[in-house]
Amino acid sequence: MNQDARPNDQDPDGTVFPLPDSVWLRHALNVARMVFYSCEAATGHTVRTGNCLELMGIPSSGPTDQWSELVFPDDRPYFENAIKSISRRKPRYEVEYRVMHGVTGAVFWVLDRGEGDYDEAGQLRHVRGGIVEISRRIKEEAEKTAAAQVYALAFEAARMGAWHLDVATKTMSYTDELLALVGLEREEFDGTPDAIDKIIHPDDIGPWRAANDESLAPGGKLEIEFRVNLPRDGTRWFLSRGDVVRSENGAALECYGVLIDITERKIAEAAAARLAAIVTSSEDAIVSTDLSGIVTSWNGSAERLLGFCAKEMTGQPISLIFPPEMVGHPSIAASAARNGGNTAPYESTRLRKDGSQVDLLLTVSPIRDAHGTLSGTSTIARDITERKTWEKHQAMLMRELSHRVKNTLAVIQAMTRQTLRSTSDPKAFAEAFEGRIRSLAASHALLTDSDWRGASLAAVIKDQLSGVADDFDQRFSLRGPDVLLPAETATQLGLLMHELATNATKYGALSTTAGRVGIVWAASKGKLRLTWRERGGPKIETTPQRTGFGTALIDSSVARIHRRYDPLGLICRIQLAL
Amino acid sequence: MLDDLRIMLLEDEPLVAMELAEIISTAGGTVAASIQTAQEALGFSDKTNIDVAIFDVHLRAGTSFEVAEALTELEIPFVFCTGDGQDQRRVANWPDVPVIVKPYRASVVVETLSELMRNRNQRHPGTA
Repeated sequence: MNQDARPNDQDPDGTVFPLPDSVWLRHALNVARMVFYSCEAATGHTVRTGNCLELMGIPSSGPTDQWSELVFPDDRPYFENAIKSISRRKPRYEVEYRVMHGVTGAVFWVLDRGEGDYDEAGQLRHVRGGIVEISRRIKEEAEKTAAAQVYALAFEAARMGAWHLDVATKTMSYTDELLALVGLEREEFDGTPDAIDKIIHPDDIGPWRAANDESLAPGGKLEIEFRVNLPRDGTRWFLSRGDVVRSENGAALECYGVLIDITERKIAEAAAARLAAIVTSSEDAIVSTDLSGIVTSWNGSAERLLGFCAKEMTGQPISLIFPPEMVGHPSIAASAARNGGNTAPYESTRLRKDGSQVDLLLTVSPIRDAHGTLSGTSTIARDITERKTWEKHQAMLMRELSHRVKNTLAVIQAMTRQTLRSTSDPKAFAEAFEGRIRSLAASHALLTDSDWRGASLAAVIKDQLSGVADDFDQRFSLRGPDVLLPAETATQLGLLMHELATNATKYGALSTTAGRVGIVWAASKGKLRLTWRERGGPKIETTPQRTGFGTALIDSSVARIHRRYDPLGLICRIQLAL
Repeated sequence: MLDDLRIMLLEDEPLVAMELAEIISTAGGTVAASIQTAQEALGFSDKTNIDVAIFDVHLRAGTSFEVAEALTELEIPFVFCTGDGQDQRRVANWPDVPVIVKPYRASVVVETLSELMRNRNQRHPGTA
């Protein structure tokens, strides 16, 4: 196959260089991608095995420069140095360099091994050797080196160290990355069990040993998180993960693994756990939703406040708890939060599971992920039902108070005019008017004590009459059940008692020293029946024709009143609704 | 001024009712009925015999609006009488009805009633 191949070539000095002359040798050289050469030192003339034209693209015979020119320029120094290094004492050389194929220009790696041949005078006669194409080996080596570099970079970037544990000696060997991770120099840490115990956090030594022992048991693997006390960086968290190599009978021989710094993750976990504890134990309902309004978390207080449990609400639209008027009209605050804005707390209502509404103070905040991208909203809801009820109650009280004041003023106005009509001189006016004002004030005082819920009938009567006579117990006898009078009725009945007592003092039983008044009452079916009976006053001859205020008031009262002027004294029957 | 007018009072504060009655009779009118509850007023059978009514808006049991509606149907004029700010807003639903604010002067009551009757007689000369 090679025209240039010659069966023999004879050196000028007569030695014969054996050239491949057999089919099998030629075939072997081709398969091995190998060329033999012999260069005459004096002339530079070189002969090569005949396969060199195909393998290297140069003829099998010619000047040695032909070969030098094929050597890749960058690698030429290596080649030339190798040739120059040949000496009698050290005649052999070995060099790897790239060559460019003389015909195709393709670049490939070769291993060139040769030997100088010296005569007895010490003169270099020939350089002979062989060239093997080694591109594939070089490529594989490069790949291996590159892979190792990638691993090294990856371990470094991941802050990951690799270790190896010899089970028999319990001694650890490790990479530089691992040393860098724990912040130690090689001379500070020799990987013995003692050295390991020294750097692991005292609280974690127990679990660390247990995990190691477990991993050595049949089928075991190592995975443990533990703290290391670094001499320079304080305490840091690490994750150690390893796999065990076992003998045929299953005994652990050695263990390979990696060490990863997880301090940041641990800190984040602790912070998350703290936040979770706050959310869980919060008195306020805390609910989060994603951007489409789907509930992503629902704490215990939300459950208590709204009746839905976390299981029922997680994954459901938050609009489930919107009152009807809000459906399709999400709150401005929630929309703002979804757009990334913070909002001031606002009041709103939400539906409980039982359908009732609850007044809430809501604070909505946007939730951002680690990259700052909006991922949802968090809402803190405080139950303000009590406050709302109180506010309504207060507003009601204010209205009630205003109404009462106006009403009282109207009563006093009427009282003034009436008193003015029925009295003849300023002194009489002042006396009568003051008496009525006091009556009104006494009833108000009783009612204020009960927050205007009402007043005891006996208390109203005693308050009105106690100022009339010093010897109250001798003059009055009261008999009747305990009755609670509504506020307005108490005021009116109080005034009635006042007027009856005033009249009795002027004209009736109380105008004499021996006169007495008996007051008896009974209550049934929402009605109060009260009898005022005078005894021992001046004898009544005829029914008096009086048009005084007291009489007029009695006649126009809410109560149904019947007066009878018995010869023994006035009998006044009063009936009013309770 | 209120000559021969027959007036119905709906006022649950006896003293105030007394005073109103006094004002009316002094001005020549007649208190045809002095009633304390809305229920009684609705049941009052002689309503057609009344020329005009005075309603205290805020009664112990509810308001007098129901009675006001009944009188509107019978075309009997009336005035509201109130001391309550909230009630003053509520009577705004009755724009044509005069409102007397408590506490009032006697002359205001008389003038309001006579003006109401005067306007009414102009609109309904036949009933004068």
